[in-house]
Amino acid sequence: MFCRRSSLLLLTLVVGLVWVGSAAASCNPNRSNKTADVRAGWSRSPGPGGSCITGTFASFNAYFPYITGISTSSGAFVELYDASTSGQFAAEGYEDNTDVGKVFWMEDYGRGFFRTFLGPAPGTSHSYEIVRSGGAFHFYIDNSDYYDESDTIYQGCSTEQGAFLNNELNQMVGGYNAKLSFTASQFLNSLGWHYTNGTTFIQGNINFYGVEGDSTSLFKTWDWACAT
Amino acid sequence: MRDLRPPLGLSRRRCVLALGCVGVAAATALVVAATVFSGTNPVQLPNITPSILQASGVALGEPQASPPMSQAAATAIATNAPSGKASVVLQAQYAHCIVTNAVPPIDQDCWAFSLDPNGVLMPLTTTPATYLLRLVDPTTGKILLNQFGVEPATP
Repeated sequence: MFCRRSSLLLLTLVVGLVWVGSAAASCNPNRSNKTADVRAGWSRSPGPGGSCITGTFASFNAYFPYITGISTSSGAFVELYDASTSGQFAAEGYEDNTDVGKVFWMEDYGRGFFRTFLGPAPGTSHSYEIVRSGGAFHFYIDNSDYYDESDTIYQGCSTEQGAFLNNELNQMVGGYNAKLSFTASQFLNSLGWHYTNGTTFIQGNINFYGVEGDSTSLFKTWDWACAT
Repeated sequence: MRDLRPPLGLSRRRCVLALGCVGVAAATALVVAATVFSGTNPVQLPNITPSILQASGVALGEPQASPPMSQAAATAIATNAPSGKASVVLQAQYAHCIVTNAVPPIDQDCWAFSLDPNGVLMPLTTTPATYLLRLVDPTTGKILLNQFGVEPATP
């Protein structure tokens, strides 16, 4: 697993550098004010009779092309969510939040709290992993466990990985068709780790955000507002 | 001075001893209960309710020593934290800070700040935060915890 992750981390870095280069030109699509919670990515549920998903893993580049201003954010995440408890979830990732800066973060939605800590340098690639075992959600970044949260009020069982964007008017400073690549995207069930092959989704405004994936470990989510 | 009281009988002595033991045990239990339950978070900060602290695995108690860093110095750190832009301090309190779900757990004295959460959103849901808690290590100046959120629906 370590060797496979290492090679895929290298792939992430290469893809990320290509992506950053293509996103150098700035644009501003003049979105409407407070376009909230635009998300794209992939998700997977166990399905009828399927075993509960107990882990989610991905590597992606820390890139901050999007926002300036106040009270908005953009970033990427991995998540275990529980469809049987109104979508309560355990999630982590990175973001550029105009209130707290460029940070790593974790969220326990069921218990209503969000934590941030010193974030990634722009352009660096990191791995994100949440595993539920032994009665707790274990939050890892770069294979280091930094939070353990009890699973007593929700159990996860489904996973989602994606990027999100909460912007206000004239805040877009990102590049044309900027893409964020997720590599080594995997989920864990009772049979072990598996590459994604999940269902892609776009939530919020499908005119501005897109996602593409394949049946293996790589998918991309991007902003296409500047294309027009 | 000689004790003029009549000597206690053996059974009475045992009774007094037993009552004494019961009393000590009861007092100890009360202290423990007060610490574990209502007294877990004797330090109160604006916007940050006991249920918020309990749900997020945080406890703020009485500090075990005097602060090696002044409140002014800690405030400067808390309001210009690398993991958080400047914020308005609602209240600062020197406390013993415990975060049970951190790895490794946090268990030390610290400066605890309740900051103005106005405009802070939970990124994935865009729900406005109702509190912003920041803990500062009084020796190193490190931000031990930067947490915001809402009253938990389920404790």
